[in-house]
Parts: sequence; C-alpha cells; structure tokens
Amino acid sequence: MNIISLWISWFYFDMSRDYFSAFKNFLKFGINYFSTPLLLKSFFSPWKRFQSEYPRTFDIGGFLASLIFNLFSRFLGMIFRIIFILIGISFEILIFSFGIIFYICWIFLPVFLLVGIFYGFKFLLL
Amino acid sequence: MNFNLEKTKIFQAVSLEKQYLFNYDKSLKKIFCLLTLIFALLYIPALLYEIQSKDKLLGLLILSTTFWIFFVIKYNFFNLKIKKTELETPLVFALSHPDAYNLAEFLDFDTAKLFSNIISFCKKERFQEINTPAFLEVLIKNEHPLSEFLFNRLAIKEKIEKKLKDYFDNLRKEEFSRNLSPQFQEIILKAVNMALEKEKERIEVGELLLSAFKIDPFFEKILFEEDLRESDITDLVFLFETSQRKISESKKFWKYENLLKHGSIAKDWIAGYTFFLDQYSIDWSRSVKTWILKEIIGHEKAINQAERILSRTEINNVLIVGEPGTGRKSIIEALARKFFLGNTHPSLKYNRVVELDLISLFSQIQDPEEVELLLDRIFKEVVQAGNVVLVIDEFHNFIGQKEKRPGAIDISSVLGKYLHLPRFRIIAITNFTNLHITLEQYPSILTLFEKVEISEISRQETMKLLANSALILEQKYRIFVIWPTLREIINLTERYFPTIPFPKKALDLLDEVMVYVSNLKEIKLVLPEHIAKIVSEKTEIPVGEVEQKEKNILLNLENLIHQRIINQEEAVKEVSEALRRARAGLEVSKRPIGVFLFLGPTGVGKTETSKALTAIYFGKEEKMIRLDMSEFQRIGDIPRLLGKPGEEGLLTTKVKENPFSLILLDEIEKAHPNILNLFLQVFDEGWITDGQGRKIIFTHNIIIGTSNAGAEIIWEEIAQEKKVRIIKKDLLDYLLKNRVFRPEFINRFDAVVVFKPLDKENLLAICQLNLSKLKKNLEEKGIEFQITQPLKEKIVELSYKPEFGAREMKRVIQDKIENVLAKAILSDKLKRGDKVKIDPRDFSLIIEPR
Repeated sequence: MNIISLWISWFYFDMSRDYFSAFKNFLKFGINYFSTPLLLKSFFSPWKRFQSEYPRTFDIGGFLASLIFNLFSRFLGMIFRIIFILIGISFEILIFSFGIIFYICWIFLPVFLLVGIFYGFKFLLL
Repeated sequence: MNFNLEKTKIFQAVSLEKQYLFNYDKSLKKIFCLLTLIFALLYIPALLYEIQSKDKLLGLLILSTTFWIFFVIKYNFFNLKIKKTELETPLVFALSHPDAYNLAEFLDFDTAKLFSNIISFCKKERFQEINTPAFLEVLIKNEHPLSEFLFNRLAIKEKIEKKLKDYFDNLRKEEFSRNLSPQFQEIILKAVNMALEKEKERIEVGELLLSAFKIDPFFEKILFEEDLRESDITDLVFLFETSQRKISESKKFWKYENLLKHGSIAKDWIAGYTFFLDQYSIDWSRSVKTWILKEIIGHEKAINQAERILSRTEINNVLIVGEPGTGRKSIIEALARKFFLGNTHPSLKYNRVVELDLISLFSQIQDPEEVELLLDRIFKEVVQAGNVVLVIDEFHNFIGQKEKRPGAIDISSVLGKYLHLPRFRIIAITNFTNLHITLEQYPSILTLFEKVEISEISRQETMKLLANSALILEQKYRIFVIWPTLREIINLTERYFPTIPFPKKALDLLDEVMVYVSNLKEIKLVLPEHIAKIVSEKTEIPVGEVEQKEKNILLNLENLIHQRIINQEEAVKEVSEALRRARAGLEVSKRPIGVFLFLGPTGVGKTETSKALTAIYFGKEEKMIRLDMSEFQRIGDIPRLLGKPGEEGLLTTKVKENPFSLILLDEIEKAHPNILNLFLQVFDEGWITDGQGRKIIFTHNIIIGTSNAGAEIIWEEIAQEKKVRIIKKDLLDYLLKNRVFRPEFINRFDAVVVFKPLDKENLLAICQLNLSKLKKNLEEKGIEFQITQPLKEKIVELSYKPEFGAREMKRVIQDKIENVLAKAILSDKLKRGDKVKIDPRDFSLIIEPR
C-alpha cells in the first residue's frame, strides 16, 4: 500500500472510527454530568430528600402540615429537575450539533487546506 | 532463529520516517502554531485601524494556520498509523515456530528503529556480529527515554559508558556479517516470552533490556559490580512503563475515564443535605479527584473485601483492623477513588467517602448531651443523604469510654441506633490491641461490623510504593532521587526502625529526606548518604559507616577489649569469636547480636568487659542497660520488668528507647526461674511482648548475663592448676546439677564464658591501667603524674583480697591517691606545670615544680 492510500484509509476510516468513539464519550459524559436519567428516575422525589414525618397518633392538623410540606418538597424537586433536565438535553443537542459540524469540517479538511493555501498566497500577493 | 529486520513492514515504517521527514513534524507544528498566534494578534489591530498591509497579514495568517493544521495531521498520521503497522500473526504463534516467522516483524517502531541503528553501528565499527554491548551503546547514545530513566536513576550511566568503551577497544575488527550473536538471539527469544507474559502484541525496548540483564554476561557483570539485583531493573522498567502509560492516558481528554474526572453536578440533588456532617468532616472524594501518577500498591484483597461488604444490604459496615502505618488510610483512598470514578458496584457508584472528625467535634463542644444530640443529627443526615460512606478513624477511642476524662466520649449508644440500617454505611479503623481490649467488650456493636484485617506490606511492595511517591515528590521539590537511595531507605528503616511497620517508616523517611535536601540549596540529587545522615540523627548511631566500622571492630575485638581488660584471654577470645560467628553473614537473623553468660568470682572483670564491649560496639558506655536481677526474685516482679498498662517496664521501656544497646543482667542466677523463662524467647526469637501489648525487638542488642554462682569451683580448680576448658565443664555440671540454671536456658547462649580469678601480676597491670587513667586526667590540668613501681606494689599489697578481685583496688586508689591529689590541687600546693609523684610509704606528695 503506498503512502497516499495509507493516508486516505487512516484519515477517512481510522480517524472517523476514533472520532465517533470520542463523540460517543462526550455524549455519554453529558448525560452523566447532568445526571439526566437519574433525574428522570427520581422526577417526583422530594427536593434533597427533605421530608416531614407524619404524626404517629391521630392528628389531622399535623398530618396535613406534613402532607403539604412533602408535596411542596416534591414540587420543588420537580421544578429543579425539569430545569436541569432541560439544560442537560440542550447540552446534548449542542454536543451533537457541534460534533456533526466538526465531522463535516474533518471530511472536507483536505479541500479547506488547499483553499487555504490558494487564498493565503492570493492575499499575500495582493 | 528467523530475524531479518529489512524484510519487515515495521522497517519500512522506519525508512518512511527518513524519506518523508516525519521526525521534523513535531517542531514544525509548534512553529506554525506560534506563527498563527502572532499573525492573529497582529491582524486584529490591523483590521480595526484599517492598516494597509492588513490583507498581507491575513494571507500570512491563513497560510500559517493551513500549515499548522497540515503538520498536525501529518504528525498524527505518522504516529497513529505508520508507526503501528498491522500484524498478520499473533506473537504467540511466532514463538511456537521461531524459525517459520520473522521475529523482527514483532518489534515495535522504537525498537525497530533502535535495531536499525545497532546494525549501522556494528557495520561502521566492523564488528563480526551484532552483539549485546552494541545494543547498550546505541541505546545510551540515542538517549532512549527508558535508558535515560534507568541508568540515571541507578546513577550508573557514566560507569556503563566507560565499560562499553573498554569493551569496544578490546574487540577485534573484522568483516561485518549481519548475524546476531548467540546471546542476542537468546535475549530476543526471552524478550518475546516476556512480552507475552505482559500481554503485549509487540516486543519493546523494556523487554529486551530486561532479558539482557537476565541472560547476558556483560549485563550481569554490571549488576554484580554495581551491587544491583535483577528485581531492581524489573521494578524500574515497570515504573517507567506504567508512569509513561499513565501520563499518556491522562492527556487523552476525550477518553470516558478522563471525562469522568469532572464529576457530575446533579447527582448530589438526589442525595440529601449533610449540613452538620460537612462542618465536622473531611471529604476524601475531593482529595482523590486529581490523581494522575499516584496509585495504591498492596492491599488489593482488603480493598475488594471492603467494597464487597459495603455493597451488601445487611451488615454493610467495615472494621479495618491493622497497626498504624500499615496503610489503613490508603484503603479508604482507594475506595474513595473507585466510588468517585464509578468503577464499582452500582449501589456504591458516586458515593462520597467522608471521614468524621470527632476530635474537632469534641474540642468545640464539651457537653456530652450536646455532643450526642449533634452526632444523632449527623448520623441521621448520613442516612437521609443516601450517598455517604462514613469513616471513623481510631474507632476504639470513641467506644465504651468508662473513664471520665476530657475528650473521651462514648458514641456507642448513639451509633448503635444506626448501624443496622442498610443506608448507613460506615468504615471504622482500629488496631489489633484495641480490638481485643476495647471493642470485643461490646459484641452488640462488633456483630454489626465485618472485619477486614490489614497486615504490613512486603519490602517489594514498599519499594514500588516508594518509587511511585518519589516521582510525585520529585515534581514537588524539584530534586531527583536515585534508585540506590530508595533501596537504602528500605534497608535502613527495616534495620533501625523495627517497631514501625512498612510502608509508613519508609514513606516518612523519604518525605523527610526530600525536605532536608531541598533546604541544601546547591544539591539537586538525593543520595544514600543523605538517608544515612538522617537515620544517624534519629538513632544516634553512625549509620553508613556502621557496616565498615562493625567489620573493623569485629576483626580487632580482642585487642580493643584488652585495652581495658587485664588477663581473661580465654574469656575475651570466646566472646569475640562468638560475636564474629553471630554476625558473619547472618544479618537477616532476628536474634540479638550476641547472647553471653559470664561466669566467675566477683571483681574479675565481668562487668568491666561488658562496659568495654558497650563502648566499643555502641560508641559509649551509657548505651548499657543494667538490671540487677536479684530484684526480680518473685514472680510478681514480672510487671516491673515488662511493664503493665499505665506503668513502664524496667527492661522493655529502656530497650524500646535504646534499641541499640548492651543489656547486662547482673546476678542472673538470683532471678525467679519463670522470669528466666521469659528470656528464652528473647534469646531465641529476638522479641517479647511487653505489659502494654507492644512488641519489643531485641535484634540490635547484645545481652550478657553475669553470675558468680559456683565461684568456689573456679577457686578450687585454679588452685589445682586445671585448664579453663575443664573448669568450664565442671562449673556447668555443677550449675545444672544444683539446678541453678536449666539446660534449655544455658543452651540459648551463644557462649558461656568463664572468668578466672586474678593473681598479683594481673592486679599490678590493673593498677597500672587505673593509674594511667588518673595520669591522663592530671595531664589535662597541666600536671605530670609519675607512676612508680613501688607505688603500684603498695596499692596491690593494700588491695589484694582474692574474694573481691580488683574491686578493692578502686577504693584504695580513691582513698590513698585521689584524695591526696585533690586536696593538694584545691590548696594550690599542686599547680599547673608541676611534676608530682607519690611516696608509697606514707602516700605523701613529692612535688617538683618545672
């Protein structure tokens, strides 16, 4: 195999494989960093596990107070989770879009280099 | 063996490097990167201020960027593709048929390049065949990173260069045949085996170098002459390869493992707040985040065991039991790192490992009720948080404190409420003594824990750990540590700090020496001498010179003792020979340096010999620990000897404080037989457990027991002019028959030494010795004291009492000579510059002014 064909196979196959592997790592990292699946799984859980214990005797007032507090804690938790799930999803979309753009640039990089040389000299000789 | 480099793909890669100038790419990409930055910085103001030459600057910017990207791609193409040719056959097949496969195909790029250079070198030098010293020469000349690392660490680079020069100077020049020498072929086969053992696809320089040190006589000679072992080379190559791999892996930021180091921001939301816990704790997960080179060596089994216990749903509390300094905290660090990276059981992933700082809590809040209330809150937080593994160090200090003393608070009642909860996970740390003394008194607490026992790590593991720590400390202090220094740390700490376990003693010493050398402004290299100096300061023993000094002492022991001891030739000879026997080549023995029993009448020099031996062997007489064994006649005296909780032992504490000393057990026959039995283990194994449960080591002591039991036998047989050998036999028979000592006790001594009574001639010589000491003291005051024969005879005449030996003489000299001289000096009769002698008739002074 001559050096040109070796380069083509490396640039378009080997590097694409490695690129997508790194791309996958970044997407996975985004999910882990914002803990999206965990936030979805615990969507209705109380905020920071804040919970009021229900009274052990018959005490309707105490029961209602705990119920309202716990509902509020769950609601608060939900709000924060929604915010972070949205941030997480936006981050994933960003990484995905950036990754695709970068890959397209990579595919056309040899052309860009030739264009760069052409325009570089053109501007220099103006 | 089939080995033809030119017919391999990897050799083509080596040729391509030269052909397409790939080796310049690294520099070129840096240059164009810099140019791009410069042009970008120039272009921005040019654009803003509409400078005329802005188009030219743009052109330069575009061109430099284009070339920068071009060289980045070219550099990576070479390193990621060309250097890593594909193998058609796995290495394992090639090894089974070394003649069918070209083994050169399995070299990695660097090794193939090295071989190509070796061939060129041998051809240029007209060597008949490709030999192993040529391999070493090229390796050093090319400054290969492994050889630089290895030989600089071992501090042998210059010596090897000289050896190689001598070797090549004596090698005959002939026609180059391109054949590998038989030794080189053997080395390659061995390297293939090693590569397979390490599960590598290709043979690297490390394997070739290791094989050479194992097989080749030229390399073996280097090992021998530099006092190195194969394991030193193996460990260093391992250290180099692992640190290189870690550094290169840590640079690959796109790897998932490296991305994980950034942690996660929302995982804590699932967990509850730990407001009170955070105030009184240390978060281990934070400190292990940034590790690159650091690694945990040893204790893998204990780490896995602790991880398994913590991941259970029931009894998921760990009790780490081990002596301080064995690396108990390193297990916590390893667990924290695993949890942080998520390389663990799902229930432990991303859990925080938090050490509860009870000391700080107790120092801030004194009221026990308040403390209990706060602890209850903290433990509740741990349960509610659901992602905390709590650590309590020195656990025994906080369980069952019956004594009401400041800072001692029993947390068992409050802790007991939580231990059985599956979401409450705790790692408690204690040691064996306190496990038995304290914790076993609380079975209700102990049953909720599973024990993980930690033992001291081995010398080899400590060496790896030291090497790893040295790499980290070198970056911190900007000083270089050579390998022999690390070996010296292991040797000296093992020998001189026997009661502290590995790795603590070695790591502490390394840390100390780094601080010490970094303060010596001009020195940038840590040498074995620096270690010896610090150990000397700590132990008050001239370490370093000690081995050579000890050899000289042992060889001249008789002469040295006879400078102080008159007569007793046989006794001195026997002690000297026994010590030489005990020390020659048996340094690994854990027994004391020597154990002797001195028998003989009073005043014949038993104690004086012991003192002389102390001064000669340990540097000063103060290094003698003297015990009057007649004080230990009852079995109830054992605690006085060995100590008990709250009380130090007369023997054990002194030995612990002075591990390098001579122990003199005076009148040993008077001690209770059961007390003597305690010494059987000391004489045999070199250690004893004191009353406080500590192991006391006697490895660096000389132990001498003295006894005048059976002195009458010596008198009788001396009168019959019997030989010392016969007297000794009869004396031992007498001692055994009369049950003064038991046979197993006598047998434990390296030598039983009989001291003969002194005659008048001996006493005259002893008198001369004592008066000489006096003369020396007076000389320091500028007074010349003349010793006369009549004076000596008079002193001997006055002090000769055979049953007291030479002991009476000291009293006579004190009374008749020293008192008179003292009075004369105080009354100014005797002045500086005077000559003085003493009239033996009335002990009056005869002063001659100068």
